[in-house]
Amino acid sequence: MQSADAKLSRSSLQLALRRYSSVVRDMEQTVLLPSLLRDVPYDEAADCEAADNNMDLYEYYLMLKAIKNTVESGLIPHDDAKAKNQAALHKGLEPLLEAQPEALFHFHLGGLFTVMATLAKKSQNLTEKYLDIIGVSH
Amino acid sequence: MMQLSNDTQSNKHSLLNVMNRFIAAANNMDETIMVPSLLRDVPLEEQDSQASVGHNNNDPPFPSKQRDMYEHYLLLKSLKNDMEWGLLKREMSGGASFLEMAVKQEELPQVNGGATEEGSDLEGQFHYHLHGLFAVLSKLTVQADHLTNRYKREIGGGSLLR
Repeated sequence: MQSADAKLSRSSLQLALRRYSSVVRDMEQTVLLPSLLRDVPYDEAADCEAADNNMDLYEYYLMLKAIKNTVESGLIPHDDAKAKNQAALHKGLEPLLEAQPEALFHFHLGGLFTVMATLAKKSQNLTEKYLDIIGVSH
Repeated sequence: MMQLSNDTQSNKHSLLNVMNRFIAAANNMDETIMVPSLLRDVPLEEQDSQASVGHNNNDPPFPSKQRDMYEHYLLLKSLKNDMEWGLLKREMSGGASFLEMAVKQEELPQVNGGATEEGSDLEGQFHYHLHGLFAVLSKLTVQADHLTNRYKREIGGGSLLR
């Protein structure tokens, strides 16, 4: 089934996930002292309408790593509050799962592409910010 | 580059595994069904089944737009295609959203609207879409297998044996 394997390795979603993983790996390898990211606000004046007030760079760093772990190793169960919220969201879409799996498929696939691309970009930004913090030109 | 797929091989529940299984099922369906036109006008629900194979009460009916097996076959093929090439098509069309192209906006929750920059929301969206895709892919994989088996049983029996 070599041709099938070749096809699998070309899958768009795998590509998107791999891209994300590699960007985060780059971030992990660059950020040798994650504690330097603490209390640094995530201020993206350049491309973001609303600056993220809730998370500092360190929390962002942890989140991006956690997502990479999920992508690579499986669906890690998250905390109960999130699970409940999502259960409600998913429940609302149940009829669609029966009647229009195609629409639901495109919705989630497209959503995942968008989210992964955004997360990858944020990982790259974080890496660059870290380099700024430690005073390395890049 | 291979490291990623090796890590996920052992985890049956990883998204990549679910994806791979769907793509494999769709490929198997594609390779088995040598004469797709034979699927035309064959209803999705089995009307005359001597032995109801796989059509128990838990097996959901297909109340979808696709009225016959042929359209269902085409749908599964197109979804597999989207999974394989969707990103490339997206990037070539200047990042035009899948949502705009394929989805009736009013039917779906506006999860992505507005707060795409918020960190915690991104994580939530990630999990939401991941789990959603997982559910849809699992269902579609079952459907692809079901379609393949029905073809082999009901239609492919008279033609060349594979």
